[in-house]
Amino acid sequence: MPRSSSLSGTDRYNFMLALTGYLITHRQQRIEEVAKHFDVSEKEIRSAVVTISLSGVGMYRPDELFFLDYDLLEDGILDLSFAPTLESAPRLSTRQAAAIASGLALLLELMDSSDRQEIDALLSILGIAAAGQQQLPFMVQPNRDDADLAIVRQAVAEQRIIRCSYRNSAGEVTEREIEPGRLESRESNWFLKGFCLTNQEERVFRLDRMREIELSNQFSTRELTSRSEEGLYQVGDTDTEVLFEVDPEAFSLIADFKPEHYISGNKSVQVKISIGQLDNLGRIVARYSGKVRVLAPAVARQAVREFALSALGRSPEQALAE
Amino acid sequence: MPERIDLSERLFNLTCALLVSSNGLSKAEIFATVQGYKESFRSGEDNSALNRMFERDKVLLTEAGIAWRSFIPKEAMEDNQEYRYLIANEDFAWPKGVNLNAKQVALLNLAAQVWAKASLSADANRALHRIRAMGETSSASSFIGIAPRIRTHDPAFLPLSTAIESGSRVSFDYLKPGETQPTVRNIEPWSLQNIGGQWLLIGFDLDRDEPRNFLLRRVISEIDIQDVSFDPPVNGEVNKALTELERHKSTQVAIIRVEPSSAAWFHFDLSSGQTEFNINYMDLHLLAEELMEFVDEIEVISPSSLIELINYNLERVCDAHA
Repeated sequence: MPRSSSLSGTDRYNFMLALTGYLITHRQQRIEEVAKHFDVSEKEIRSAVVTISLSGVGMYRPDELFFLDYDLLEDGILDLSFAPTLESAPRLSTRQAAAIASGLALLLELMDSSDRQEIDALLSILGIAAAGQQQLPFMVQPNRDDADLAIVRQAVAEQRIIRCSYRNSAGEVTEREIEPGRLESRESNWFLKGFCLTNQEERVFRLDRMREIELSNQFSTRELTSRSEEGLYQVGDTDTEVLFEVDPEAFSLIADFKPEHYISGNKSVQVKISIGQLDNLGRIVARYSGKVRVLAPAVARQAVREFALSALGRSPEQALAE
Repeated sequence: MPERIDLSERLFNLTCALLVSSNGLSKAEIFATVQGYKESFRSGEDNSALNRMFERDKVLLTEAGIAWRSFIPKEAMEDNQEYRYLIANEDFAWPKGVNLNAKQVALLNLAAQVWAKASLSADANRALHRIRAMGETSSASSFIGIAPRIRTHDPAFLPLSTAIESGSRVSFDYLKPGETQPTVRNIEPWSLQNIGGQWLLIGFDLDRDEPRNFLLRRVISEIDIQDVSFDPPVNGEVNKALTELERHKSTQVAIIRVEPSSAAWFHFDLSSGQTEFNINYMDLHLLAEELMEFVDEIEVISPSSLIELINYNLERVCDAHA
């Protein structure tokens, strides 16, 4: 789907460079095909190509540097030629190359060996294609291989039913059959969104709670109801709205549970998050060692305190006596 | 009155002008001939606003990875030492003979999505536009249903990557765990590395006179980018630092006992019957944090510093929820 938001500023500049490189090496293209190729609207293409054709610099007057065939444009065909010797797309900036290379490194743990070879080839291409031959300013170190992750990824790609042993957040271990839908990561955890055949319900599974994963038959595509990309955590009717105070060091909590919440700056923030089971709240909050504080409701604060006390080997009564 | 030329158009015109001029252009020539400049140019008058605009545009070009060169012609007279500017085609163009296949384009698309909604998503998208300008389309993807994500909720990430690219010294307040007062660090930043989901700055600590690593989440001030540049590290310095980190990690081992069938037992993927495992760690505090989620079902055998730290963390959780 072409996106609707329009480009401006340095984004549009970048796009015009790319479009120019494309059009002078790909003559007489249909405008809707070009829009599809770049994933931008036809209007955006039209506006950019007219701007390009009107640019005049140095000894070239407008219309002389580029020649756009306006007759063909009326028929929805883009035909742009360029007077001097520019014949290629621009190379990537180091930052662009670093962004893509980091993404590729993150993909490595998901890929089979033939895809890994492609990624290795791409990483060396990105090294060449980045401007200035500088070292990339940032990079992701690939994670170690994870056999479970690879097999779940295969199940998603081949649309095959997963059989596994699953331990839910309440601690019950059951055998499950799952039609995998979408594999997503949050921080260092992987989640699988899919249809649980055992419970006849759409569920989100944490990969680190799966064991003895096997692939079974293929299944036909099922339309999952939660198509939203960030909808890992869905608010249920029985959820409790909990008010958290979060120090900057623990901002990943917000990124995990409420990704739509915009955070900036270096100060603690307060945020409300709906929590399904208060039983698990202690576990979530303990991770941040006091850098995340539950402010309300009281029953949620109590749940966190009890979790910490029991982990310390004390009962709440003992603590009250202190 | 000529129509107002917006930023994207001015940058595009400037880029074309510098690309097509074989001898380069002087600033005066740019002001007089390039659309976006020439409308405001008054020969013989004060053009300081244009000068400032040109300085800003040069920075924007550099940030976009468009490498321009400046030089004073050899034949210039003593009294006419004026810089000329140009963009060499080999600096600009995607390297010849470096082609992408359809599967690689599919992988690059997926790699860009890793940044969805994170700080580098704009750069990843710009990279995709340039990659698409090569013309190859993505193969019908077997990567549907995979959505790994990089998170950069560390406010220090963007300013540090900018400083690395420009080779500028930085200083910031760094709070080590267990300490109450931050220390000011003066660093030549070399590289940002994501290791196991954590962003790490590798750089040369000017006060300690050796390379050091910093966890971005422990940077608690804004990044002060100084107007002091430094030479990039010699080739291999960053890799040396990474190898040293890996070596350090291999020497640090914790021994943990877990209950069979507990969440920790699932998480650390122990085999049936196994109740004890070793884990290597880079940073004791990060390991403690990872273990906190399972704190009620594990027992740390060693090191004792880890036991103390976990108990200290639990006390802090208790205190924060008293």
